[in-house]
Amino acid sequence: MQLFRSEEHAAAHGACPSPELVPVRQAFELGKVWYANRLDEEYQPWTLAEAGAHFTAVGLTGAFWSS
Amino acid sequence: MTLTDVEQRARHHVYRTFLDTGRAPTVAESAEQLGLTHQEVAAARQRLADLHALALQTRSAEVWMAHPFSAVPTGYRVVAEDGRRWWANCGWDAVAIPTIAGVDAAIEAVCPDCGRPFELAVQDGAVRGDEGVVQFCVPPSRFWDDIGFT
Repeated sequence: MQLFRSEEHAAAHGACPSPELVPVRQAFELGKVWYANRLDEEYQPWTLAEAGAHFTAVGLTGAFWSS
Repeated sequence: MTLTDVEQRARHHVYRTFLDTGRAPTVAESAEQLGLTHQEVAAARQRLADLHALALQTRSAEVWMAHPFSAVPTGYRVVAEDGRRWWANCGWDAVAIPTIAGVDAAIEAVCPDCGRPFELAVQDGAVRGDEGVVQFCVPPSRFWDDIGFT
């Protein structure tokens, strides 16, 4: 997941055919919840339902995030 | 998914070592510090990799990725105000590391298109600096199809 200066820069680079572009602040909010369990001594990965809820909570609701 | 006690300890040791030192512990270091054999650590790491809780280097039990941390240099460097430094696997991981480390940090990266460096930081629990977009090329259900590409 590369970080580009803007959507225009991502499009010009053309690294993948139909990417989902997420503003860095939204990606930051997703990272906070997605990685919140990684330092747990009794780690349990997210269930599919939990993962889906994390995407929805930060506003990532399109088909890409549920496929 | 249920992890054994050894798998939980081996996984947590990788993450604590990354957090504290910026690098992954070797199999030998984990074995010594956890009171396990090399074989026990290697087997635990292999199962963790099979479950996508770690990524290992090719034909090795040494760590490649423990998301969001990378054991090998990448284009994304996180520099904390307390002196700790980490390699992140990608742009998303770079902005995630300061939060799980509980520290303010600068993100060192360049735009792959124009080559200009970002002026980006996580400070007081928020992203500061340049705007930008993170490009997700594959949906979440396919993150682990080719984790290096993802």
